[in-house]
Amino acid sequence: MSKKILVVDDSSMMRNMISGILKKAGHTVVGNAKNGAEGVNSYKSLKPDVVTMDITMRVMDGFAAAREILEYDQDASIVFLSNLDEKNYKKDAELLGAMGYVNKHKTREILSIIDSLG
Amino acid sequence: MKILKNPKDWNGHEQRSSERINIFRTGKIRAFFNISNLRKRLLIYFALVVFVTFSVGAQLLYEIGSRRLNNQITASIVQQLSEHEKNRFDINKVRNVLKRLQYRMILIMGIVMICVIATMIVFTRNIIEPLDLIGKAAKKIADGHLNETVPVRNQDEIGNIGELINDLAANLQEILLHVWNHTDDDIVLLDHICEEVNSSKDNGLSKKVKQELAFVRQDITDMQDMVKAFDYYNIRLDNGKVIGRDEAEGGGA
Repeated sequence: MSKKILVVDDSSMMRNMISGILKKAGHTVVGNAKNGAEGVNSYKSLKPDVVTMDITMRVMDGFAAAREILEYDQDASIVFLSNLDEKNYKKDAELLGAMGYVNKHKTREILSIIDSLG
Repeated sequence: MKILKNPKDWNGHEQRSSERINIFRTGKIRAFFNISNLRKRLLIYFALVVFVTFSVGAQLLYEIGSRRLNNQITASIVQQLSEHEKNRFDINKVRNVLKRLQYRMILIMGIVMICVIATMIVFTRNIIEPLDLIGKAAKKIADGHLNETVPVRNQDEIGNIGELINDLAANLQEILLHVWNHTDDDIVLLDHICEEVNSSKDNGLSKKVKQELAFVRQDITDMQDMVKAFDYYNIRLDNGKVIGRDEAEGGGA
C-alpha cells in the first residue's frame, strides 16, 4: 500500500537516494527536511504516514527530533536510517518508540519495515 | 644616513633590526596585515572615499574661509550699491553668512564620515565576516575535517553558500561511511572465505587463492585507512564500527 513519507537527512545525496528507492516502490515522498528541526516542522504541516529519520544531523539530531514528533503525535511512525552501528543504537531507537532501525548501507531494508506497518 | 664603520655597531644595528622585525612579526601590525584580502581591499576603498570626501570638503572650507573670497564677494556687492547704500553696508553680515556656511559644511562632512563608517561596519558584519568564516570552514573541510560546520547566519546568498558547503561535507561523510560499513562487512566475509580456503585439502589451489585474497584484503584495508583519515561530524570510527561521539565520550546516543 502506498504511503506518504517524509525523508529527514542532512545529506541531499542521501535524501535523493532514499526518495528514489521509496518512489520506485510506489510510495509518495511528501517532503524532505535537512535537519531535525525542519523535520519536526514538516511533520506538523505535512502529516506523513511514515518518517525516515537520520540520527547524526546538524542543528537538531534525529533522536531529539523523533522525541518532539512523538510528543506531538504519539502514533507517529518513525524509522531511523543511520550509519551508526545497529547493535548500539537499535535498542535506543526502539525505547524511544521508533518503528525500526536500518543501517544506511542496507537502505533497501527500509521497504520491508514500511510494508510491515500495514 | 648613518654609516656603520665599527663591526660592533653592525651587531647592535642587526640586533635592533631583528627586534623590530620580531615586533612586526608578533605585534599588532602583523595582526593588521593578517586580515583577509577582501577586508583589506574594502578598507582601502572606504579610505579612498573618506579621503576624496575630506579633500573636497577641506578645499571648500578653505576657500569659503579665505580672505580672498571674502574680499571678492564684498567687492562685487559694493560695486552694485549706491553711495548711500555703501555707507549702510555691513561687511560682518556677509562674513557671518560665510561662517554659517562653513559650520554647515563641517556638519555635513561629519555626517558623511559617520555614514561611511556605519556603511563600512554593516558591510563588514554582513558580508566580509560571514565570507571569512565560510572561507576558514571550507578550508578545514577541504583538509578532511568534515566535523567542521559553516555558520549560516542569514538566509541570503552568502547563507546559501554556507548551507551548500555543509551539504557537501554531509554528502562526503555519507559516501565515506558507506565505504566504511561495506568494507567492514567485506573484511568479515573475506576472513570467512580465508578460513574455508585454509581448511581446503587442495594445497596448490588454496595457496594461490590465499595469496589473491590477501591482496584483496590489503586493498580493502587501504580503503579503510583512507576513510579513517577524515574527521567526521559527531561520529567516530572504532574497531570497524561507526560510533556516535556522545557514546564514545561516555554519554548516551
